[in-house]
Amino acid sequence: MDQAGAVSLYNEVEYDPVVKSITKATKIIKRKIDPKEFEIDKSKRLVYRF
Amino acid sequence: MKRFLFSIFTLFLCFPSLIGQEYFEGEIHFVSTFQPMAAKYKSINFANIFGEKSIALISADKYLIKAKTAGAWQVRIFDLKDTLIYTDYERSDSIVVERLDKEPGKLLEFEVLSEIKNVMDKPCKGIYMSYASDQLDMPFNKVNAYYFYSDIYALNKEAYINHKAAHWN
Repeated sequence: MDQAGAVSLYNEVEYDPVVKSITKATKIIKRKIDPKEFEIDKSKRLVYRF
Repeated sequence: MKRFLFSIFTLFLCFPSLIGQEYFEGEIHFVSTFQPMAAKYKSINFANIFGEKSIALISADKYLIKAKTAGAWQVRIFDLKDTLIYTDYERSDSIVVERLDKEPGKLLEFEVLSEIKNVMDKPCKGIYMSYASDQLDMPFNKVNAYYFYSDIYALNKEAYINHKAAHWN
C-alpha cells in the first residue's frame, strides 16, 4: 500500500523523535473480500474530525 | 482441440497480464515491534498502543487494518473512493471519521532504493520517504519511512491518487 503500487510486506517507520516501528508480513492469503467485511458498526455514532 | 484450449488456458494462467493487470485482493497478517528513540519514551508500552499483531484486508477500493491494542481491537477502514478513514475502537461507542485526502505534512525526501530485501522468501524492492508532520495532536514532528514491496501483490495506483495520508498517493 504505497507509492510503489504494491502492498508493503516490510516497513520501518521512525516517528521522530519518539519511536521506530518495524512491521513484517507473516502470512498472505489471496481471497475475495466480501464488501460486508468493510461495513461499519451502525450502532455507533460518527465523530467527524475535519 | 482440447490440447489447444488447454494451452491457451495455461498461457493466461501464467501471464495474467495478457488478460489485463491483476491486482491483489486478500488478507495479510503482520507482526510489529517498537523501539523507543529516546530514554524518556522507554517506559511507554508502544505495543499496547499500536498493537503487535495486525491483519489487513485489501480490496480494489477499500482496505482495513485491524490491530489488537491493550486487549481491545482497533479497526481502521480506508475508503479510497470517498477518501475517508473510519477508526473504530472496540470499547468505544463512537467511530472517528477523518479525511484520507489530507497530507500529514510536507514531503521532504523520496527515494527508490537499490537494496532488495527478502520477505517471506520474496525479493522486495524498496522506497524511502521522509515528511514533516504538522499533526499537532501527535508527539512526533517528522516521519522517516522505508517500505519494501513485492510486485506480486500489485495495487491499482489510480485508486490511491487521493490517498494523501502518509503520502501514499
